[in-house]
Amino acid sequence: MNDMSASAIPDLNTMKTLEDKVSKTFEKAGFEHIDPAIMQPADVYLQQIGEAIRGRTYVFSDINGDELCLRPDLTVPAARVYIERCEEQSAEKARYYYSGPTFRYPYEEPTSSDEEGEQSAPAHGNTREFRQAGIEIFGKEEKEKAEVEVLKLTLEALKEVGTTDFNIRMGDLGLFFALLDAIDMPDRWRKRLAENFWRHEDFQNILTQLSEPHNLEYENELRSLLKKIINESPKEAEQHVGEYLAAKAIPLIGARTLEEITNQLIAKAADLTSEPLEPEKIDIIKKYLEISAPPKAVGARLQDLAETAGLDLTKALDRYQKRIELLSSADIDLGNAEFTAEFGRKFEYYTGFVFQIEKHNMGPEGHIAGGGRYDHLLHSLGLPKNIPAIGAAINLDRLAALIDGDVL
Amino acid sequence: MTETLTIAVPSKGRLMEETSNFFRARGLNLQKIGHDRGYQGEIEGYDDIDIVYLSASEIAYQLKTGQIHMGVTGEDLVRENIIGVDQKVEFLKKLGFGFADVVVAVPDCWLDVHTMADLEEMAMEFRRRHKRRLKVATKYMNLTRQFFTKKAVAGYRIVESLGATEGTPMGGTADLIVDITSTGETLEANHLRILDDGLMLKSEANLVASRAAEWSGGAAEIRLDIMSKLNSDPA
Repeated sequence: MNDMSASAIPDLNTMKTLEDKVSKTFEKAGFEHIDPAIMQPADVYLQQIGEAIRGRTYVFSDINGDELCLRPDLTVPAARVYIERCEEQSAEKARYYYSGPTFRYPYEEPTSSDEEGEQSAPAHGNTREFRQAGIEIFGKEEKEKAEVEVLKLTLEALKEVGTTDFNIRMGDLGLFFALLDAIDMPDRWRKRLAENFWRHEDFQNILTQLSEPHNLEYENELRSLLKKIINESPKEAEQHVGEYLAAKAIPLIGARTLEEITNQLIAKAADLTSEPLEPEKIDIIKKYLEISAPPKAVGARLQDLAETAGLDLTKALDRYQKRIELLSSADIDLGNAEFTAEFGRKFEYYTGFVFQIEKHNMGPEGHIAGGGRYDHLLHSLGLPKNIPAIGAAINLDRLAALIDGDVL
Repeated sequence: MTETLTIAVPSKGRLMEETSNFFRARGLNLQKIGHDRGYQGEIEGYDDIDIVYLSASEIAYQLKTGQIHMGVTGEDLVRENIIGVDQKVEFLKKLGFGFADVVVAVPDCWLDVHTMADLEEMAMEFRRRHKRRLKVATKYMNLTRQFFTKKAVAGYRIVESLGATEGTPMGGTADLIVDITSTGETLEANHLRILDDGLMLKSEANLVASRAAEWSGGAAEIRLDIMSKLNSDPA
């Protein structure tokens, strides 16, 4: 406990009042209270977010050898509640709210590219436990409407506890993926860029790699194998790869099949003969990622970018404009809002609209709430198909520290 | 106890012998106190030094907690077991024995995977097809995570393996491994191949000082004395 400084623990009454007021706001809006388990199977997080989670989460084994963890957020546990209920009865739509402690290891491991979540970083460097209150909407709803609703309700909850002085940061990962889809390039490159989007530095490296002529430092024999299979049917290619392994007395071990290995080799061979990604295309991606502007101005800028590059982004742009209109008609003040194309690149499960609410003039350091759309999470947690999902959480410890009790 | 310096040395096997030889060659005779199977020792002629015989991983642990001032153990164990290693300990000297490379090795039949970047590229396809991440068997959970992050590989899961790690890909409990190797023979026998950029750490036995230990009250001076001996040329 020696790492818990007194200042990291907010006054109990302040916290209780905050929690009550925020919960009441969610309750009044028709959200159902849930109380997910504090201990979660570590497997769920490890599959979803990967081993990086071990660097910041309390993972431990029980006497049975099963790996458990103290929940590092409440989104995944809430999603699991939804999934459980889906199995019992077809839940389809659900609106949940929750509040409670989450846990993060206070030591930050040095990494090549920071994967720390923006939404729920500890309020103080040494805090292991911090409280969150949040909402999640699962199931088919009109997307933009649900997004605006979540943002509006989050803002209302903050107003309810007397915080009005804040900035809103927004992003939209859906726009980026639409851009990537519109740019002509081999599908495997698009996949690589998309899947590395969340890791900033790696994404840059891949862009650089794709912009240069491909060169494989393979030994001669393997090189001639690649040349042999490059223009062959998958079946023939597989046969050649099989013969190559047999000649070298290399047994096929493990879960990967000869077909999988061959497919990857064919992709590599294709890279060898492909022209590098044109500088203009790389330029569009970079230009897009540099966008940082008032949300209302972004539409026009994207339109320009698309027209100059000859890309069709109509659908994505329509959705964006629709959201802007809904935000305005919901009386959300966009005067203190900023759209940043890069924003949302740090937490792997977001797929579309993302936002963060920051205390005025404090920048990202002052963030007190955040959320976004994550349409793939439920599927990857076990549901048979993708289910639209959007949520937001307020970091109550940070909020308590910022308002310092004086407005309550 | 404040007037003494505690040094931990490995309690068995080649590491114990080589440590003893290293010290003896520089005029420091390690010897056990009492029963030969006991774990207490001394350096002949140094009343103010306690020698304790511990397992190599226990030495890493006690360096972290500061129960011992100095210890001889593998760099791999120190880096694996101490998070924020540079704040907790100081590597004083490489000792020239106990060599072991910590490496990433994959099935030799993965003709498409030669580098860590290949591994990440393949991991995406693997996950799509097998509905799970690649499993990496290792006892070096922290080193593996740090190295894979540095090399931008994310599509994997660690399966803790405390022995016979090289056999896990063939046995099916893992897809690839991170393990120590000295000659590469065991890897080869299990049809595994080290990735071109898969050398995580070139480890050897090190003399390490704990920053968490109590250094006032004479220990620091004794350390200077002992280090001048250990840094001298072997007789």
